[in-house]
Parts: sequence; C-alpha cells; structure tokens
Amino acid sequence: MSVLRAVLAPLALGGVLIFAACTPRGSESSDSTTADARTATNDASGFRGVITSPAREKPDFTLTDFNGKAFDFRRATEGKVALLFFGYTHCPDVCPLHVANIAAVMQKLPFEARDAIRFVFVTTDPVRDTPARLKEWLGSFDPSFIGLRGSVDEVNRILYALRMPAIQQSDAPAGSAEYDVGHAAQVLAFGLDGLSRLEYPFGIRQEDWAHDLPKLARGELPAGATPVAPAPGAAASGAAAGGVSSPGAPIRIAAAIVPQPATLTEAALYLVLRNTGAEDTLYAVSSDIAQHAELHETVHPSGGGMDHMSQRNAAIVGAGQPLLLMPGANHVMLMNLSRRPEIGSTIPIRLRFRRAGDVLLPASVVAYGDVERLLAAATASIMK
Amino acid sequence: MQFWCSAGPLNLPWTWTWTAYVGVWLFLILLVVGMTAWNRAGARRAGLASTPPVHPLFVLGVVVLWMALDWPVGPLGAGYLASVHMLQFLLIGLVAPPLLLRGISPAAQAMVAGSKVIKQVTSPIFALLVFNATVLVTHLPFVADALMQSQLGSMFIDLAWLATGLFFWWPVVVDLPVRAKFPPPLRMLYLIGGLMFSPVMFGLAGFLAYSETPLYGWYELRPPVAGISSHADHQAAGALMSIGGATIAFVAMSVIFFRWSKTEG
Repeated sequence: MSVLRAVLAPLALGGVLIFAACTPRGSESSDSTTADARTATNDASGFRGVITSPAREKPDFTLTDFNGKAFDFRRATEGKVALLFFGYTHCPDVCPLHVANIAAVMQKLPFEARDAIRFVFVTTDPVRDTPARLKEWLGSFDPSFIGLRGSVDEVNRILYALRMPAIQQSDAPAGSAEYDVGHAAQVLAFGLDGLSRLEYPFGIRQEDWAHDLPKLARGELPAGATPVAPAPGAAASGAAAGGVSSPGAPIRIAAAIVPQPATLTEAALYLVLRNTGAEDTLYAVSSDIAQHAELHETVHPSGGGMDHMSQRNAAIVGAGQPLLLMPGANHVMLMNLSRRPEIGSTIPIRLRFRRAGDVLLPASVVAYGDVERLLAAATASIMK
Repeated sequence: MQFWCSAGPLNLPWTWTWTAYVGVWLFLILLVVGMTAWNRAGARRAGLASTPPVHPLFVLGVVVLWMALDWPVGPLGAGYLASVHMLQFLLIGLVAPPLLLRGISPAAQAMVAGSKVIKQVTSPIFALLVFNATVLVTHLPFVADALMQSQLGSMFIDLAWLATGLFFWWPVVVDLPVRAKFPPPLRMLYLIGGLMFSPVMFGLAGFLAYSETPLYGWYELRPPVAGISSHADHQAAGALMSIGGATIAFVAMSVIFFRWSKTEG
C-alpha cells in the first residue's frame, strides 16, 4: 500500500493545488446570462421564450433591405410571425449563434410553419454592413432571412420605441477597422396579432426554438396572454399571408403560388392544402385581379393524342386528405387579368368550400423556374 | 494563464492565441515523476542493480496526453467543438492509457500484484463496467454541460477518462496480477464487447450523430469556430466516437492476435 500512496500522492497534491489555484470561469458574468435566461424561461406560459410584460407593439418603421428596396416592417410582416433581431455581421458571438440556431430550426419546420415566419435582421453597424455584405452573410444561413439597413439614428429610434438599449460602438484600435458594437442580445418574436409577448435572449437553444416556433406559427399565445383583436382585414389576410389558416380552421394551406404569366389572358394557380376536417368540396375560386377563375383538370386521352384541359365544377377533398392542384394535373386558371403581377408580389385569392366556407389567402407570384421546387417542398411538408 | 483547459465565458470567441495551462504541465510532470519513482522502487525491491530505462511507449503516451490536454486541443475541446472534445476522449481514455501502462516495469508490477485494491480495479469485469459507466455519465448532456463550465469540472472529466481508461486497459496490457487468467481470445472478446461494439459508445455516438438538435448546450451556444455549425460538429463527434473507438479496438486486437500467433506458432 505504501507504493499506492507513492503513486497517488502526486495526484492528490495536484488536486489540492487545483482547489487552491483555479477560479471557475463558468461563474463569470456572461455565463450567468445564460442561466438567467433559462431561469426566466416561463414553462407555465407553454413557451421557452421569456415573457415580455407589457407586450411590445410591432414598431412602424421603414428601412432599406439588402436589395436596396424600402422595407415597411409592419406592412411586410403583417399576418406573419416576425422575429426581429438587431445585430451586425462582424459580431463574433451572439449574432451568428442566434442566426445559425434559428436557421437550423427553420430548415426542419414544415413548409406551412416556415412560410409563416419572417426573420428580420436590422444591422447595428451600417458602416461595415453594406447591402452586399448583409445579403451574403444572411444568405449563408438562410436565403429567406431579410437584412435591413438604416442610419444609427434611425435604428436607435426603433430601439427606443421597443424599450431596448441604444447601439454602443467601441473605439477601434489605432490603425484598425476592427471594432465591436454593443447591442441588445435578444430576438423579439411578434405574433400574428402584431404584439411581441416573448423574447429570446442569448442562451436560447435550438430545442427551444424548435418548441416555440411551430406554436407561434399556429398563432398560439403564451398562457394567460389576452388575445388582441386584429385590425380590420388583418385576420383574413394574416391567416392567408403565411399560408396558414387560423388555428382550428380545417383547411390548412401549405402553398399557393402563381407563376408569373406572360400575358394578361390567363395565369395558373397551384395549391397545396390539407383538409383536417370532414370531407369538403372546393366549388369556387376567385381573385380580385381576375375576371373569373376556373378549376381545370388535365385530361390524358387513353387512346393517345394530345393532353387537353377540361373544366371541372368542383374538387372533393376527403377528410384528412391533401388537395394538390399542380402542373399537369388539376389546377386553377385565373382568366383575363386586370394587371400583370410582379414576381415577389402576392395576389389575393378566395377559395370557397361547402363546409369550411371561404378561405382567403395571398398567392405568391414566382418565376416559372421556382414552381416545381416550391410545390415539392410544400407537398413534402403537408405529407408529413 | 490558466490552471486547466476551459474556454471561459460563453460569448468569448475562439482565437488562436496561445495560453499556458500550468495544471496540465504540472500533472504531466507528476505523472512522469510518479512512474519513475514507482519503477525505481520496484527495481530496489527486486534487488536489481539499476532501474530499467523508460519505455518509449510510455514517453509516447505522455506526449499523446500532453497533446490532448494542452493548447489548442484542450481549450477547443473543453468549450468550443464537441468533435474536438471527442478527439480528446479518444486520446485520453483510449490511446494514452495502454501506452502509459507499458511504462510500468515488471518489477514495479510485482510490487502491486498482491494488492487487493489493484486486483479489484483491474479485474476485467469491474474495469469494463467502470469505464463504460464513466463514458456514459461524462457524456450525458446535463453532466457535461455542467462540468465543462469550469476548469475544475473540465479537469474532473479529463482525469476520470484517464483513470478509468487505465483500469480498462490494465488487464489487456499489464501482465500482473490477472493477465495469466485472461488469455488473448478473452482479451479480444473484452475489446469487442467493451469498446468496438460497446452499447454505451454506439448509443452515445448515435445520439450525437442523429439528434435533431445539438445535445450539448455548451457547444451549441459557443461562437462558431471556422464556420462549423453545431449540427455538423455534433455529427462529427458521433462519427469520431464510433469509428475512433472501433479503430482503436481493432488495432489493439490485431496486436494481441499477432503476438498470440507468434507464441503459439
């Protein structure tokens, strides 16, 4: 045993030295931020985000997006869940983490949930964050993320309205363009009703986002939160804008897209939806920009010959079944358009069901080349 | 200067700035001094005229341990990349121990061969269970996330891997006290069940590689290193654990087999 003691003694000595010498760095301030965030996470709310009280109202501002176009935040995110974050692309820690974690979770969400969420990144470092830099940086995480840019004063005004700290820029070392920018570390989540009752501080993990984002996309509110009546017209457009019907509605839209037509004569409308209620019948489709709309089916003659279109009166959607209105199959034709819609814009569509009633939604105008990919993604998501 | 590798506050980005880890150096010095003292004591007790020279594999084991614990692998594994943490585990728990054990001279082995404690901790079943239990516990997300936050916790994990790795490899590498009752075929079976196809190793590797979201918050919430996403990092860690463990077991089994063939042939 004396030999054992001789062998173990150095280890014991090492242990004593460690207790005497080391200061666990985990107890330092920024780690406690994480712990605080976790502690503050209110499980009783049904969400992992931290409850904001009082709720923040969606700010009304317009900044320039990374394509150089004006972006009206309130209007562009109406009826969507808006995740708003203030950061900068040279940020070494919080910003890339938040953005990477949200992107990782968004990629795994079903199409309809993903489409109901907009992530908006407002730079706090407009000097270094050029539009090209913003676009490239955000695009490396998720091409759907939106980057906005304004002057420091403009952004500070928005921060002030949101009860958040102003931008703080540290001095760059002499002869260096490298400097840090102090900014709020939380992501604000604005629900479908335009209020932010939840915020997500640094320390929120992917599993937390994966828990909360689908709930937010469905329009769920933290337990105890009082729903706010949306502005007139907001409910209908809101439910439809994200391709998400209001919670409890039997018709769940995964995609509604219109390939940009070459002429004003007609445009195709493709739909991917699921009927979560009892069997229903889609018997009419209409749009403000079309004189009338027809439900078509593509007929493939059994004895050969050319495929041709045949008008249908209705489409039956079984209980729990999807309805796929796709190229080369059943689809909707919008006839005699009043204008040629631009790619990136939306067209208001009204679907009339016998049981579910009217479903209002905006169909996205896309390039022909994107149709197949978008429909495939929507079909995959709705088949899950 | 720090005592042991710990990456510090969560929001501190990784930089390639050398840092001194005094505790690592001290530990390695103590390890070499302790082994030398033990071998000298063994030689004295056996009445040998001189202490046998240091085994080159022991030196290699110390170098492997130093690489795994010191900058940059140490701090990268302690707080930035789960895949590097897994590399550390392989080096500390599976590569270094058999090399270090080769440094124990026969005379030094004879000194402890009669010890009940040594007999107990190096018995194959006990060693296999303790090693796998330690691997499991130290890789549980809530345990790892809690311990990795401090130098002390990080050191505890490293030393637990080393200690139980030494137990695990002892019956395979060291002649006394039980190896006579542990013939080569059994040793190979031991490595197959305890390492190559260990349910613990495979289970953890599977969870790491196929989990929908990263298992370890400590690595997930770190500023990214070289643009590596936490998801890719966790997948790499899972792959390293299963492939690395199986490869090390395969190499060890090959050595055992060819040595056995020589003696039998």
